Amino acid sequence: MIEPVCGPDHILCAWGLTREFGGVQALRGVDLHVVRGTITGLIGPNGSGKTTLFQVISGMDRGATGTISFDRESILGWRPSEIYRRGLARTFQLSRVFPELTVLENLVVAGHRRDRGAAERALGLLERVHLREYAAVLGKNLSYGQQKLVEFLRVLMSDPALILLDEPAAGVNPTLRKTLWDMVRHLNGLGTTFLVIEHNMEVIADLCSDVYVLSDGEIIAQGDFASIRNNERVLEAYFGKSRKHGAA
Amino acid sequence: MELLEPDILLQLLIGGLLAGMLYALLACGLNLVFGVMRVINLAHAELMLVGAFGAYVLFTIFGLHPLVSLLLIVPVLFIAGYYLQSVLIERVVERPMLTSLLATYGLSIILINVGLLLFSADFKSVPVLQGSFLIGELTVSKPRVTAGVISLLLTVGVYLFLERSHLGKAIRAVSEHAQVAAICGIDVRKIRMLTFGMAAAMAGAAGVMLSVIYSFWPGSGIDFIQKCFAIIIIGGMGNFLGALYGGILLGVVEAFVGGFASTQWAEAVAYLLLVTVLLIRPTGLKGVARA
Amino acid sequence: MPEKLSQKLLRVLRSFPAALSSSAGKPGAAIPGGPFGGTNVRRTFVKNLRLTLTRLTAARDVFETASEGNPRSIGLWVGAVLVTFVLLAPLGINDYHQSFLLQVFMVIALAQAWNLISGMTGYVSFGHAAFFGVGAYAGALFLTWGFPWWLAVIKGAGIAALLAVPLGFLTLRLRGPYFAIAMLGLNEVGRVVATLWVDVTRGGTGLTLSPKLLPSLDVKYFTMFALALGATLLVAWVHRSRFGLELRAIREDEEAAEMVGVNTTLNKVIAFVLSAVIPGAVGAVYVMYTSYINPASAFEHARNIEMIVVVLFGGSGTVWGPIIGAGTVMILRELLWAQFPAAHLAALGVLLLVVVLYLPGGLISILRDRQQKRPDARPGESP
Repeated sequence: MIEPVCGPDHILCAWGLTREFGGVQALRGVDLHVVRGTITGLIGPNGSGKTTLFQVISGMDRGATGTISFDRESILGWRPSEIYRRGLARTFQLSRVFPELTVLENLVVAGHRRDRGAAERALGLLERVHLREYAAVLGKNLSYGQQKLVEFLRVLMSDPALILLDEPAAGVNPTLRKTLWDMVRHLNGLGTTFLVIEHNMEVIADLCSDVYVLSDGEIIAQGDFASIRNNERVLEAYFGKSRKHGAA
Repeated sequence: MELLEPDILLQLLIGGLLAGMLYALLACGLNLVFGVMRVINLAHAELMLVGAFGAYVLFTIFGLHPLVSLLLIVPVLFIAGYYLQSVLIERVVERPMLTSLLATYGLSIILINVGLLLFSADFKSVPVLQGSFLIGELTVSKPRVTAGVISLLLTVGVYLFLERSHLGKAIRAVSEHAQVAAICGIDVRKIRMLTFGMAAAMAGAAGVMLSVIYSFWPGSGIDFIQKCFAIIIIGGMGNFLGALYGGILLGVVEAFVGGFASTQWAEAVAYLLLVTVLLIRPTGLKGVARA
Repeated sequence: MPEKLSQKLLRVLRSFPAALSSSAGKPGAAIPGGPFGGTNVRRTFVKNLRLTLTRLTAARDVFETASEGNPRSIGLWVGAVLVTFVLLAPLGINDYHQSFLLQVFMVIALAQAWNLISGMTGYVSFGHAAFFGVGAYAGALFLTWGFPWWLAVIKGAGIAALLAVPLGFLTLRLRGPYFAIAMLGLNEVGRVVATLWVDVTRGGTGLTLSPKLLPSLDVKYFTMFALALGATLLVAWVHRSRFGLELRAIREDEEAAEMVGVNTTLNKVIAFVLSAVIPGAVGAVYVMYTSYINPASAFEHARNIEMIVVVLFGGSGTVWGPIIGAGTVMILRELLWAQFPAAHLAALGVLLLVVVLYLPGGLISILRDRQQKRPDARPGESP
């Protein structure tokens, strides 16, 4: 697989990321480069290692080997809070809003320590998604969709340069989903780069300029959506090999 | 150094093995409860003392030989444990482990202090078995042999029960995966009550054996629960055989430390082991301390 | 509606200091309390009063700047009244009652310290009395080595803090129940070390302090009160601060907190060390109060139990919870079983069970629920 060399255009570069869990290779030498200012997609069948990749990049999983550089700085081995402070944020597949903290507190804690205006910014963000009146509500009393939205807002508090979105719209009703993707587009227009794990191909086709396909721990294809969807290896990964004789 | 005489070493070894068998009986019960319910029963050692004081009372009032008391105390504690589970433990099973830890902590405090109110802080014992066997050049204390052997038999008995019997398999199924076991038609709640009853019975038996070899007071439990923790964390949480081997190992280590240093150092072994393993190697040797 | 009530209350309470200071110039006039013989006593009393009022005003200012709503103001004024009572009490009560209050302060201080690491950060410790024991022995030793009592207290606290740093890094890697058990083990390790390190601690015999070295009961009373007040103010400050927010986030979901930029390790260790310094100081003062220390009393299990139950009963993670819990437990102890420590502890065990099963939020949660009229917290919450 020929990969472009990591250049000044790339905000995130990963080389040869390998992660093994007691005999099972979750990631096998993954190479991935995200161009600054894009919305890059990461797709692949279930169990292919997408979330593991996010765990490794965001610092939650420190057991991988290889190289990761973010904004020209190597971040492999950094703790997650340092990586976040550096400008790389990440959301979770299942909502991890702090249940006993209010929505406002959920947001403020993610902001910079010395930021006096954190509360204002938080309220502003809530205003954008019409959740202003929920500022004093405890996290656990929100609906699931609202939680995911708040979680999304949370990572915006530190003004990250790159955001890893792990299935942000899963389990969310269509209206909230639209709000979410509109925000993503808007922020992207302002310069934020996104790396998105999604299963919804329409969204990928619509939003992403570049797509990586991960299967069984390896990157098997990369390019724009049109070229991906006709790629034989990709089809094989999703639908299995066709056999000449007998069922698969 | 005369301590290195093979006779003395053998003596220490045997003493350690016998003590270890008692520890194993106790630790296996605690481990069983943890394995099946993910509950750490901080009151386990106090249940043991219930057995010990029971033997004491039956001896002083009715003159019952502790081995006879054993036959009474084991079933009584089984029933008590069975119902204790349904009254108290069931309520905290589904909750975070910390909640059940606090609840059993409360229970242990109640038991210790009720014990103090009933029996005061004086040391008690049941000095029925006296003397020693002479095997070749070795003197082995009779009460220790009795206690050790019976403890071992009971522990192995429970193990065989878990391995071979239908009910035992059900118990193991629940400890592996309670939800799946429930789907397979196992009454998980009943199994839990049964398990706790068994653990309480094992603790009670250990208590009766304890009364024969050591003197004890209501506060003795604290030392023993620490030993159990040390054993379980080293042997692997939820691992029955691990607790068995761990218990025996602890007994032997304590015996040797006691022989070469002092009894006070021997008492410290369990604490030091526990703290060292937890702090330096949080994953234990096979355990889930950081799960 | 609630606002009007509290504003009324505030007006009434605000008038008090004014009334007191106006009559302060007239010794003996309109001042409640026991008989004060002699002008000297009256002058000291007046001086104390002025001091109290200055302190109160200062304290009020500190709180008001951060104060948000009415419950806080009421709490503040209740606190002010209590503080006044405490400061004036030694003049009117006998030694026995003063000792009782001293013990109440001790329990409050320990409870707030435990509250910091266990209630607010979520790392429930079953062996925090270990730091008390360390402080007690360190304080006793420094005292016998010739240091003035207050320096011995500071050094005692310092040793406890010093130990807390490496221990914190090691123990805080463990999750919930295992942390609890490790701390339980550490308490016992402390006891064992005190027993075995005979050269320094005299082992089981214990250390006896000669009365010449010890400060007076009044001094100890005020010092213990200062510790209780300090601990409470610390918890109150943390509660409102960014640090406290981060601690609570750690308590809720440590991984997620790390993911949004909270340096969980540093925060936890700081909380842990703060929660060790206070028991260290308290232990040192305590040993000067009892003038004797041995491993069993220094690392007494009952102290652990009290720390835990008092806070959980009152309401863990809150500022007033430990105070309410401590007050209630100590009063009950005094009334019911001052003569039977075992009964007291058994009652604590029952209380713990009740709280864990039925009232995980403690007494304070009852007040909160009534105030906010929101649905009860899920019973599945761990303290």
